[in-house]
Amino acid sequence: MGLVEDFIQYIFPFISLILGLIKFKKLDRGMKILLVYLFYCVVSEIILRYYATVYRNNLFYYNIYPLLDFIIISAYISNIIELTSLKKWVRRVFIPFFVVAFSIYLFTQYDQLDKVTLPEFRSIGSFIIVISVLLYYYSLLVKRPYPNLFFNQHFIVSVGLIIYYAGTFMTWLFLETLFNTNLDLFSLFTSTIHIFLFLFIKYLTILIAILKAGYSKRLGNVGA
Amino acid sequence: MWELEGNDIFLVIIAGTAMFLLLVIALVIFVIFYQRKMYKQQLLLQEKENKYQKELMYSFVNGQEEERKRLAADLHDDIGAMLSTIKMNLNIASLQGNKEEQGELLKETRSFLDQTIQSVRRVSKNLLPVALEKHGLDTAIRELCERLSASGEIYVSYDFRVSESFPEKDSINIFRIVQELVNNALKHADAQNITIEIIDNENEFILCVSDDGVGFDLEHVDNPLNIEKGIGLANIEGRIKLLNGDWNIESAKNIGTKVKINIPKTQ
Repeated sequence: MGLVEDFIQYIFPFISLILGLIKFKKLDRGMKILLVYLFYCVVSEIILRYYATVYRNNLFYYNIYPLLDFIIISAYISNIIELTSLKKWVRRVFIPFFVVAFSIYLFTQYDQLDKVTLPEFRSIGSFIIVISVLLYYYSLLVKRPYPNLFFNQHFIVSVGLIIYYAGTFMTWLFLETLFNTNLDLFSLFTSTIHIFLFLFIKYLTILIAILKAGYSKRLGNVGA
Repeated sequence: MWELEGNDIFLVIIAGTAMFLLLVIALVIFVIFYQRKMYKQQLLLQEKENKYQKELMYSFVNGQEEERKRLAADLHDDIGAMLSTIKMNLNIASLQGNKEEQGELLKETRSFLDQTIQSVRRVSKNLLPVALEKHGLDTAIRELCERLSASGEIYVSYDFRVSESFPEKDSINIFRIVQELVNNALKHADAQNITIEIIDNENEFILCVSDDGVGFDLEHVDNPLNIEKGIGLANIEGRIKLLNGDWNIESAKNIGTKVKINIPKTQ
């Protein structure tokens, strides 16, 4: 179990990152943003593991790393959205919102950062990412029809992202309660379901998108 | 964050997550199917547009060929025959010993020459009305109406009331449309009276041509580009499309036909 867990958490994004770097020239801007995201995920997982092993407490980094996570994903979605007005909406409203919301959290709960989990920010962030992906779908519906959406690498990634963030939204919402009341359930949701299902789906769609990069340009399915 | 028991939390998270996932998966499936449907519709539309453009092009080419045929017939049957007669008369006149008879022959030849000049003018006016180039659309259509009314067989009334002048590049198309509609009324409708009206409002020019002829069955012009049903209407349709306009035909058996064409001022 631990080996598979490690593979999904560390090796899988790392392999995707390496493959992305090999195919770097064939990637469009959106895919390059995803490479930055993968790099951030790998580094964050290593830092989290390091804190957990050495200090027995990785809550501080666990609480602050979603900010960049959401910002990078929002930047990616704003890049692939096909309507300029919606792109601007994500860039000028959602990304600043993450920064402001996170700043408020830092300001109000700075002394709690290494003591409790801060699930509200994660929940709100996940919800906003889901909304952003829905905006991307809306732009797909109104902008131009594709012969087959699965030729579009960004659509594949968007499916992974919406499943991940919609699937983990409820877990983040009850994270602190779970942590305090039932550690078995906490482990079930944050490790087993989160990693084996949602994280795997997210990384898998990103890997597929990287592998497909450069092949679907002829069909005009390269997103923005 | 929430005051719930362990089992309740489990249920709430599972139910909430399942609901969210079902919702987003349903949305994803909807997007996929809707996109596919849109793509198929676009293909169909593109196919129709291509077919329409092809038919339009075909009707234009055919129109040109018809025009050439008409010109060839005019040259051969009318002017050609006249010139042959003139040549023959001149040959006879050159061999004629009797001065009086020679004079008669030359007089007759001069009359033929006048007729030939008239024919050349008629053909030339049909090709490109001089009045259109020199004095504009209003005068050209007025001249056309006067010429037709002068025969006494038909009366063509004409009204031109526009607040701003037609773009020069479009005048020839408007003129041809009027010419074709009047020709149709003469050739097919057996009309006694034709009314041509050109007016405008803030946004568009409105051209209306009506006659009191036999009318026709509108079902036969559902697709005016249908080559089998003649190219006259196809040519009109083509020219209207060039002007970004649209048209509407009203016709009743033995009452007459009214064709109304709207042409936007900003194209």
